[in-house]
Amino acid sequence: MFPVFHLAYEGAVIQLTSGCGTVATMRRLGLCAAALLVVGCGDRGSVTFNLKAPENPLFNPVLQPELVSEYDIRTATGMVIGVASAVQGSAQGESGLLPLGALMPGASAEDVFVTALSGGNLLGMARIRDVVIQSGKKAAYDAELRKPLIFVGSTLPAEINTGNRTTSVQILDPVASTDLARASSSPPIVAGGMTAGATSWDGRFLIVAQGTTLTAFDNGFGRNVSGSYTLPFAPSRLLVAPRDTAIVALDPGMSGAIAILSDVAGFAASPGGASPKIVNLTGAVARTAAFSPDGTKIYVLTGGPSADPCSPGAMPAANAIQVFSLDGSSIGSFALGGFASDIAVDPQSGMIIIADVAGKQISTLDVASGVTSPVLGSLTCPSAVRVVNGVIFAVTSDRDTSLPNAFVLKRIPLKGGAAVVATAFQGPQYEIPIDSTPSPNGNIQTATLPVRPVSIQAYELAITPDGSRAQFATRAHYKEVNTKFTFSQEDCTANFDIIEYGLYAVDLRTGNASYAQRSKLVQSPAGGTKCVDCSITIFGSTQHQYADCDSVAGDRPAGLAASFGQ
Amino acid sequence: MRAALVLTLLCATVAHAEETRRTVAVLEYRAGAKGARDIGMRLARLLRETAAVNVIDAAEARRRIPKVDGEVAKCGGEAMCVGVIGEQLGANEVLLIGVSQLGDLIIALQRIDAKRGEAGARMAESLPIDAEIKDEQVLGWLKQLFPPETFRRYGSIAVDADQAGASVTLNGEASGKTPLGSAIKVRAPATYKLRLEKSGFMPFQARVDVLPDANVEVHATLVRESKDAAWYKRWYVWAAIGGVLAAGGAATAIYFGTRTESTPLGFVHRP
Repeated sequence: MFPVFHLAYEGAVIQLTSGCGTVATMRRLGLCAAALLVVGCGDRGSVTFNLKAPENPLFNPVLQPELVSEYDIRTATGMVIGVASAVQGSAQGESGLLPLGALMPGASAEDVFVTALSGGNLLGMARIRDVVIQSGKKAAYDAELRKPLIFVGSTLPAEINTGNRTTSVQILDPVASTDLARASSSPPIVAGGMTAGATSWDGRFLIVAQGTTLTAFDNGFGRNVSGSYTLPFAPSRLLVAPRDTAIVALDPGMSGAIAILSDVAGFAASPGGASPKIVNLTGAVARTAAFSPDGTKIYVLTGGPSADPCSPGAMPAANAIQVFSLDGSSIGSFALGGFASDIAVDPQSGMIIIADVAGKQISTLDVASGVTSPVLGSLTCPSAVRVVNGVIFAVTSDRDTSLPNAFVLKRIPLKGGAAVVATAFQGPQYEIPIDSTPSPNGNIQTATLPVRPVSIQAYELAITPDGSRAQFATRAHYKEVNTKFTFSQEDCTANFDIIEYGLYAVDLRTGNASYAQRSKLVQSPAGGTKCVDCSITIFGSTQHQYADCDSVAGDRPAGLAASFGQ
Repeated sequence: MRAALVLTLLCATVAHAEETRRTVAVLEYRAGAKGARDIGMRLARLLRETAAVNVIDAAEARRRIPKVDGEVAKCGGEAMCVGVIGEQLGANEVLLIGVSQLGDLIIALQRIDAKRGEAGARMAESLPIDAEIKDEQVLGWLKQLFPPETFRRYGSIAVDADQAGASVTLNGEASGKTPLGSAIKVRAPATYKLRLEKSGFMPFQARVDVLPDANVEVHATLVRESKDAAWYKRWYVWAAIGGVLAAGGAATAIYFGTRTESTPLGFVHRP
């Protein structure tokens, strides 16, 4: 499926097969030096990582090889195996076979992460299972480099509006800051849309749910694989286990089930042949879930996906984390002290990170001892949490008081010992049009009454593997009950309940944030009429002026999935 | 082991410094000009980002006084009138931006004391209609209008220790002894090396990053260095052992890294 990109040098092809193992196809003298080094290594052995690129050039992270400064090879635990310089002009960067130097032999097979960097910027990644580095042994591993893409699907909001409709899947490329699905020529399309999604551990596939239909999108060719499987429910979430050992789909319905499909590669090769195991939760509905680092346990947070714990007056009941093995057997549960909105698992320590709304904190749960410890406190509705490279990312309803309408995403190292980094992002704004007469010169136009939300909930969050970008889907709530204010010397009363869905992108290096509104749905007053009532008394007669609140039909973002990220 | 101990002792949080600062309302008056549409909000943003002042931008001003644009327009640039609006907004002063289009685009900036209704520093800039105004340019205007001290920003470090009488130094300069009466005001953004020392205790060290207008709290627990302790409980014994282990580790790494007969070579075959 992925062709090996041989070197494009002219001249005679030299095929070298050495006693120590490296087989290389080389076409110029410069490479012979590296080859001779390999030949001359006697019985010490070698390990070669053959990097490949996706077929579709839009998905190729090293389409411009001159941008690559180095290839970084690490174990899954973060230990450096080797770094190869790819800078053009350097001794290494001139050839296609870049030396990593002597490697430390290991006693057992380990998973390895390959990263292509341009200076400090992540261009692409690859994950390889079960790499063995042994003295006197030769080995070669194919690594499929892929971009750290973020996929964003679309589903209908629970708030009914006749004009609501879903949109096509976005394929966001953080490196180029573009949406590949909206490229000018031959854009890749996730056929049928996506209501829930997750990327495979090796980055090769996007597992896609469209309603009850489950299929896969190939990130190499940029198209759906053939075939699909129909689940007995339309999943609210999909997850792929580390090392691609399983796919899990969460049922949002009252029956409270999860479907476990083993073997991601097998599913992608033949989705129609899937045979999922359906497991019923004990008296609960799944809200979200996460896998243990080794991919053998599923931690399911109960509480249902629809509860918005950040909404004013919301007090959802305490939920729990139920634990299952991949064969579906229940192997325990952790009762939580109050309602938690989200969980994530630290790939290094295996600890569960909990967005504890009731406790107004982010806490860790040691699965071995069952002990929870606060990491970050005094938070207003921490609704979404992820942990990448040992750093916790939490979206909160905390306000940045230095700005008129801004909320805060917080970051803190899991191990502590450093200050909290707070990144403000401008809150959404609802504008109520007020009748007014434009000024004669046209500079002063129709007036609007800007309203900021009373709460914001991030119901899905994706972080790129280098922790440089956060993408999150939000549900903002505008709610005023008999709120009095003065507008243009008139006494006004506001009564409305409006839900807004949108999508944020935050560059965590610069703090720049962008927001795309997806829908604004007026729940009350009915029809949106008379949401603001202003009155003025003239000569004893009270005149009323009303403002209406209009809905903007649309969708809500769903199925956020970051390749190699969380 | 010692490093791990220190990590557990350091707990830092960030809170906004509660300090009385001047409030500047950035208001805009347009005389039929269509250029530089975002100039008011940009000026407000840059002032907020670079100066030690609270800023009320146009959006916030409209929230507080819905017809503020019309009221400013009525003032016709008259300082006393604009000052009254500034007071109604709760500002100490108004930075009034006048945008007009007389062939070129003319941007006039004027500082007005809200309470006294008096005009202070002012400047005007003439630009081509389609000129792209850069942030550096706008920042330059602000630095012409406001004195340098306006752009000095500070944060603070609140140091709290479980032992009284520990001497506190920041970047090697003495900053008093615990308990400190108040947080130490420092220039920001900057990184400081904090050290607490007390006889009979192991020194406490931390690197502290201070952001503008932020207060970093450091809670230090000093660990007693008991002379009666067994030799293996002395920190310098473990430091020496650590050094030996580090040297041993380095030697092992060098050995494995340089010996040629048994370590395999690695290669990356790039696309």
